[in-house]
Amino acid sequence: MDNLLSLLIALIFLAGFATPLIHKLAGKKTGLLLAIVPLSLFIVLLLELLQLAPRESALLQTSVSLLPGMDFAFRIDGLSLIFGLLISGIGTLVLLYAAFYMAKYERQAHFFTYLTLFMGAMIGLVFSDNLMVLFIFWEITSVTSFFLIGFDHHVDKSRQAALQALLITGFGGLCLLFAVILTGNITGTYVISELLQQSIHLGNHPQYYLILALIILGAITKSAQFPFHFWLPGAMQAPTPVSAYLHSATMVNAGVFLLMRIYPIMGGTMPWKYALMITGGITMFLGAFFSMGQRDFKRILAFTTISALGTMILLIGIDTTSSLKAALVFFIVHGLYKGGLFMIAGIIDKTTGTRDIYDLHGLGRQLPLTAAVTLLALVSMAGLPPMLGFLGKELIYEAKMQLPDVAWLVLPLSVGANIMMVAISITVYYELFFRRKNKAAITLKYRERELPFYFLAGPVLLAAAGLFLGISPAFLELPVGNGLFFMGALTGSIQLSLWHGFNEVLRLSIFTVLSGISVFMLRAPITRFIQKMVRWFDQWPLPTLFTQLINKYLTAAAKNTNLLQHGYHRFYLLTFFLAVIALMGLQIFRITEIDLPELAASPLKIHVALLLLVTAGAVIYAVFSSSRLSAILAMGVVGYGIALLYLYYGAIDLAITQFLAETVLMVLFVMVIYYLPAFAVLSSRKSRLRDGLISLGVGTFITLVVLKAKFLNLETPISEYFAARAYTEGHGRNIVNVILVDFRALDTMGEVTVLILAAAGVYSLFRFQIKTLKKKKQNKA
Amino acid sequence: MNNIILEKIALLFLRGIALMSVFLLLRGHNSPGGGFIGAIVLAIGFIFYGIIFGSDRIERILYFNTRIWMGIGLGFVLLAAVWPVFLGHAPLTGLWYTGNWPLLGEIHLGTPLIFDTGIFIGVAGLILSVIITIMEVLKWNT
Amino acid sequence: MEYIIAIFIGLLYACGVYLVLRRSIVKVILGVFVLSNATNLIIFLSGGITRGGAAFIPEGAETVDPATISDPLPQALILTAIVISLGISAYILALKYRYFDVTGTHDLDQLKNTDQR
Repeated sequence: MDNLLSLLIALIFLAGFATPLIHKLAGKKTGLLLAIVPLSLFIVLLLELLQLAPRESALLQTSVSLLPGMDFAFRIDGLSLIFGLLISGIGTLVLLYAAFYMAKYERQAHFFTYLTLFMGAMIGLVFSDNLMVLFIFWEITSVTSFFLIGFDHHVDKSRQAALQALLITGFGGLCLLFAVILTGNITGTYVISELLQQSIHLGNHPQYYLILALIILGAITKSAQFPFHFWLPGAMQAPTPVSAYLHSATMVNAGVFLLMRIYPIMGGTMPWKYALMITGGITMFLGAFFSMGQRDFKRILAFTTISALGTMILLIGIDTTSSLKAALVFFIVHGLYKGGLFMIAGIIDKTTGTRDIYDLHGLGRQLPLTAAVTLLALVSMAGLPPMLGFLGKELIYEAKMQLPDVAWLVLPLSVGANIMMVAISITVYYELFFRRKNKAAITLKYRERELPFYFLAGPVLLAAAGLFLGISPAFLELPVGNGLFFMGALTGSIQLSLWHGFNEVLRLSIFTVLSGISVFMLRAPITRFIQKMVRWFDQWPLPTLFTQLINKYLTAAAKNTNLLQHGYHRFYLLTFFLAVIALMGLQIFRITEIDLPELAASPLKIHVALLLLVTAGAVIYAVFSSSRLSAILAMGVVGYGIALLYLYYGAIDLAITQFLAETVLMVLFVMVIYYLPAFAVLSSRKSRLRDGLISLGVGTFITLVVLKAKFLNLETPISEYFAARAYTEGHGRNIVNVILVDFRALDTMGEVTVLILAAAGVYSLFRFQIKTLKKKKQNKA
Repeated sequence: MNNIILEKIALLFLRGIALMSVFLLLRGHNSPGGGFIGAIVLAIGFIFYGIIFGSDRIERILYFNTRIWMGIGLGFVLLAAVWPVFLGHAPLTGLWYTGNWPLLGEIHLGTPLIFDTGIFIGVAGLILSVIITIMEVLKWNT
Repeated sequence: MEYIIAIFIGLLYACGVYLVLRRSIVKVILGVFVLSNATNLIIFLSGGITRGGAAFIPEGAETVDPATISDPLPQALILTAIVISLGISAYILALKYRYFDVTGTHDLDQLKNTDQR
C-alpha cells in the first residue's frame, strides 16, 4: 500500500505515453479504456478516505528517491484527498465523455495523450510532498494545458488563446519557482511534511513580503484572478471536454490549492489577507457581473468560473476557520456543478450545433434527461436547496458575516455576485429549455436516445453526487475536518448540515434569491447595460494589450540579436581573437615570478633551423599565393616539414602519422580543388592591412605564451609513470601506442566516435546527390 | 581503363599494401606502427586504386559498405571496452594472456589488441567513406 | 632552439589567423589547417624538445629512464589530434564543396543571413 500512490501516478503518466499505442489498438474506444486508470485511482482514494481519522497526521507518506534532495514524495491528507478525489473522479467522467465527443476529431491520440498527461500532473501536484516536485507538476500542467487549449491549432484564435494561457501561467510558474527556492533557502527543506511539523511561520522573516508576493502572483495567474483573468474565457477555444476538466476541478484550482497548502507556513498575515481579499473580491464580482452579458453558453460558464475562483480566493483571504471551511466545501460544490454544466454545454453543442443560448429554446421536451440534470446543476450554482451548492453558499455568507471590519465591503460584493449567479442560472435554464410559441422548433442532429450512456454519464453522476452530498453533507465532515487540521485552522470537529435554522444567513439567502429572480425579470435592460459595460471595457482589451506587449518584447529581442549576431564570420573571429589576446595577455603578465633564463635553452642546430626556414617560406607563400594548386602544395610542404621536425625530435609514430595524414589530405584537396572557384581578392587594401596587423599581434602573443609555458615547470611530468609501466603492465615497448590503446584508451575511443560522426556528416551532406546520381546511372544502363 | 595487366598489378600492389598495413597494426605495440598508422596506409592503398579504377571498384573489393565497416570497428572498440566489465574490472582495463607457443615463442595477447584493431578498421572505414562519397559526387566512380 | 621554434609557431599562427580572416572560403580552410598544425607543435614543444631517443623500451629491458627518451604523452595526444584534424578537414572540405554547389558563391560575406531577419 505504501507505494501504491506513486505507482498509480506513474501509471497515469505511463498510460499517457502509451496512448498513441492504445489508440492504434482500440481506436474510438481509447477514452473508455483510459478511464480505467483514473477510476482505479478514485477507488483507491475512496478506500483511503474511509481510513481517514479526523485529526491524525497524514494518512500516507511515501517517497521515491530520484535526485538527491528532491525525492518524489507524496502524501495523502484531508486536503489532498479532497482535491485528488475530484480530479480523478471528474477525470474518469471526462475521459468517458470525450470518447464520444472527440469521436469525429482528427488526432485523437494526441488529444488523449495530452489529457492523460495533464491528469497525471494534476494528481501529482496535489499529492506532492515536496515543493520542488509540486513546482514541476505545476509546470507540466501549464505545458499540457497549452496543447489542450490549442488543440484546434489550425484556428488562429485557438493558438492565440493557448499562447496567452501558457505565457501567463508560465510567468506565474516562474514566480512560484523563485518563491519555492527562497522558502527552501530559509527553512532548509522543501518537504511539505517537515515544514508543517516544524510549524515554522515565515511571517517575521525579512524576505517574507517578497516570497508572499511571488506565491500570490503564481496562484492568481493560475487561478485566473483579476487582472490576469482574461486567459480563461479565451481558453474556451478548447474542445469542451478540456474546458469541463480544466475549469471545473483542476488547472484553475491549482492556485487555490497552492494557497491552501502553504497557508500554515505563510498565511494569515495582514498583507496575505488584504491582497487575497482585494483580488478575490474584485474577481468574484466582475466575473458574475460579466457572465450576464454573454451569449455563448461556454463563455457564460467561463465567467461564472472566474467568479467562483474569486470567491475561493476571497474566502482564503478572510482567514477564519469558517471561511477556510467554506472555501474547501465550495471547491467541492463548484467542481461538481461546473464539470456537469460544461459537459451539458458540450451535449447541447453536439445535438444542436450551437452554444448561443439566445438562439436556442424549447429543448426541454426534446432532451428531457439533459434538462433535468441541468436543472440540478443550475440549482447548485444558484445556491438553492437541496443541492450542495446551498450549503456552500450558506457557509460563505456565514464566514463573511463574522468579519466585522470588512463585512460592510465584502458582504455587498458577495451578495451582488450571488444575485447575478441566481439570475444567470434562471436565464440559462429559461432560454434553453422553455418553449417559445412564435419560434420554430430546433432541429436536432442527435436525439437523446441515440447518445451513448457514457456520454451522458458525466453530468448525471456529477449532479447526483451534488444532490446526495447536499442531502447528507455529513460525509464531507471527515475529509474537510482533516484538511482543515492540516491548514492549522481547526480546533474542534466540524459539523455540516443543510438546515441551519432560520437565522440571519438564511434571511440573506432568501433576499439573494428574490433579487436574483427580479434581475431575471428585468434581464433585457440589465443585459443591455452589461453589454454596454463590456464594450466600454473593451476599449482597453487586456488580451490585445497583452499580445502587443509580447510583440514589442519580441521586436526588441530581435533588434538586440541582430546587433550581436551580424552574420559576418570574419568579425566574429576578430572579436574572438582580440578578446583572447586581451584576457590571456592580462593573465600571462600577471605571473611575474618566473625568470626566463633559468632553464637553459637547448643549443641551436643549423639543419633544423634551415628546415624551419623552408617551412616558414612555404607557409608565407601559401598565404600570398594567387593559385589554388600551388597554395595547397605549399601547405603540403608545411605539413611534411613539421613531420620532419617530429622525426628529428624522436617522435617516430607521430612523424609517420603526420606524413600519411598529410598525404591523404593532399589527395582530397587536389581532388576537390578544381571544382571550387579560383582565388579572388575580395577585401580592400585597408581591411587586409588591419587583418595583417591583428594576425601579427596574435603571432607575437602566441610566441610569448609558448616561451612562458615552456619555462614553467610546475609538476613532474606524468610521463615517468608511463615509462615505468608501459612494459610491466601494458605489455608493450612502444610507449606512445600503449598510451593510446591502454592507458588513455577512453580518449581514443572518444576520438574514433568523433571521426565516425565526421564521416556520417560528409555522407549526409551528399546523400541525396549520390542517390540521384546512381538512379541516373541505372536509367542509362 | 581496361588494361588487364595494369589491373592485375594494381590488385597485387593493393594486396601488398593491405598486408603491410596489418603488419603495421600488429607490430604497433612494440615498434613504430599501430592502428592509426596501419589504417591510413590501408586507406592510401585503396585511394590509389580508386583513383585509377573509380570508387565503385573499391566498394566492390570492400564487400561491405564503408559505414558498416566503421560500425564493425566501433564494435571492436566497444568489445574491448565492455569485456573487462563482465570480469569485474573497470571498463577498458587491459586484460592479457601470456603464453609460450611452440613455434612463435612467448606471446602476449590482450584486449588492447582488440581495441587497436577496432581503431584500425574504424579509421580506415572513415577515410574511405569520405573519399568514396566525394569521388561519387565528383562522378569519379567508373 | 626553443626560441626559434617559438617564433616559428608564432609565424604559423599569424599566417593561420590572417588566412582565417579572409572572405574566400578556400583560404579560411587553409587557415584552419595551418592553425591545427601550429597547435600540435605547441603541445609537442611543451613536452620538451631535447633530442633524446624515441619513446621505446629497449628489447630485454623492463623500463626505461624517462630522461633519455622524448616525452611520450604529448606524442600520443598529438597523434590523436592529427587524425582528428584529418577527419575534420575532410568534413570542412566536403561542406565547402556542397556549400559552393548550392549557393554558387565562395564569399563568406554572402553567407551572413541566419534565420533571423
